[in-house]
Amino acid sequence: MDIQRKKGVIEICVLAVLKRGPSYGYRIISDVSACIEISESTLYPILRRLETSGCVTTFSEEYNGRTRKYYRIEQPGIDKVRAFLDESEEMRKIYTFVEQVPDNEHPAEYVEEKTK
Amino acid sequence: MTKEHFLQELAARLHQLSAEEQEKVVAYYSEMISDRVENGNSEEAVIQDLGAPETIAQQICADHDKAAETMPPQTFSPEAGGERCYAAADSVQKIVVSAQNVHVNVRSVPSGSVRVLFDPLPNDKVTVTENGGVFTFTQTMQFHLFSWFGLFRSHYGITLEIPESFSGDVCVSTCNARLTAEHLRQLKSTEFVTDNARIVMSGLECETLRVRTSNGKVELENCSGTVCTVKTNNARITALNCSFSEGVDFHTENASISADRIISDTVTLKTTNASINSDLLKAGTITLKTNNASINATVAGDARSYAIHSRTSNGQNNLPADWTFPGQTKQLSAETNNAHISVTFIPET
Repeated sequence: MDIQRKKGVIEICVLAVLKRGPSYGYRIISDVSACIEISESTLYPILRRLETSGCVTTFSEEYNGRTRKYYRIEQPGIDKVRAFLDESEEMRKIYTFVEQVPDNEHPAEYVEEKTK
Repeated sequence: MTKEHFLQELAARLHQLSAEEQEKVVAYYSEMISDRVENGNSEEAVIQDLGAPETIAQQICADHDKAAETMPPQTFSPEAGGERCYAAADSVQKIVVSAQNVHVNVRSVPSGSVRVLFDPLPNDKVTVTENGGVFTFTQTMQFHLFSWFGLFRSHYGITLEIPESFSGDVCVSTCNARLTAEHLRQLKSTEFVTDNARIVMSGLECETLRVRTSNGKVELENCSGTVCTVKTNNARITALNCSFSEGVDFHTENASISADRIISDTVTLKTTNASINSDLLKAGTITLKTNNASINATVAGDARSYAIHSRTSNGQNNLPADWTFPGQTKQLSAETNNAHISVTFIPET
């Protein structure tokens, strides 16, 4: 998948995971990995962007003698997931359209014939 | 590589980010490593899997550049003559000034923006960037002609002006030339570095103050904040009237330390082959260490509340060698040899 597109998709997956409830880095990665491959270094800039854009807020909790940073989804984040789902209907139509166009084995020749 | 080492390597490469952002990155990776280790992976394997700290830092910095309103670096190849002024945007959070063979003076101005004033010589190259709240001014000598000439252009210098409203981080470095700063208030993390030249700081108020030089003396006066570290060698450290809530750490070699009226939780004064003199120290933990030279100090407080450890040879020592008993909350350690130790306690005022 194209890298920019992948980032966009992961962002939505992270938000979707957070819709279940606040979560922390390691758990977000394990949850999102179920559907798309993701590493710590991919997640960091995504979380940062979500935080600066107000889609998520953070809080810290003590765990095992260290602090764990939790991410909580906020309204702009919820809206974003909503918008993604709304878009999917449109995308489905586009996919169907692309799939239904019949295969032409020699598209280049076809164009040449037309111009003759 | 251990976790600690990995995080250090990572932090060392995040220079261009604000202190707050650096902390966030390190905290994030620290949490990730701990979580993965607790889930049954070995620390080494986890770190191997994360990849090189250099690469991670590079990606993060690149991402910051993209996200921020990016101003393309401006490079000036100045023509002769005339002082120039390079100003930063009002939103700047961190100032980084690096120079070579030019002295830098940092001063406070009542209002206005962060500005660098500089009258470049023909072989100076100046680069100014502003990314994600970090204003960077870099001056280099294009041909690296180290010139004796450089030593004589004492009038030639960089002035960094910081308005009173600024409350971010400041990093200033140069080499072979002195660094001075005065009357700066409400700064967060500050760092002043040079080589072969002296550093003079007066009236600084900042959370952390880091001062480093070599072969040049350091003078501090009326500085305050949370933590202060000073490091030099072959030249003395002089401090007067400084108060840092958590710690003061002075370190030199082959030169004396004189620290008068210093208040902190922890005070550490270390040198070699030269004396330590301190007229009035007020601290919970005091460490004084040298050799071949004397230690003279006045400490504010009751001698009985200090657990004392002291050592010297071939010299008089007015402190007990080892003196501890339950209930003592403070510590004093004084070590030297071939010289005397004289520490007196006066009542706290």
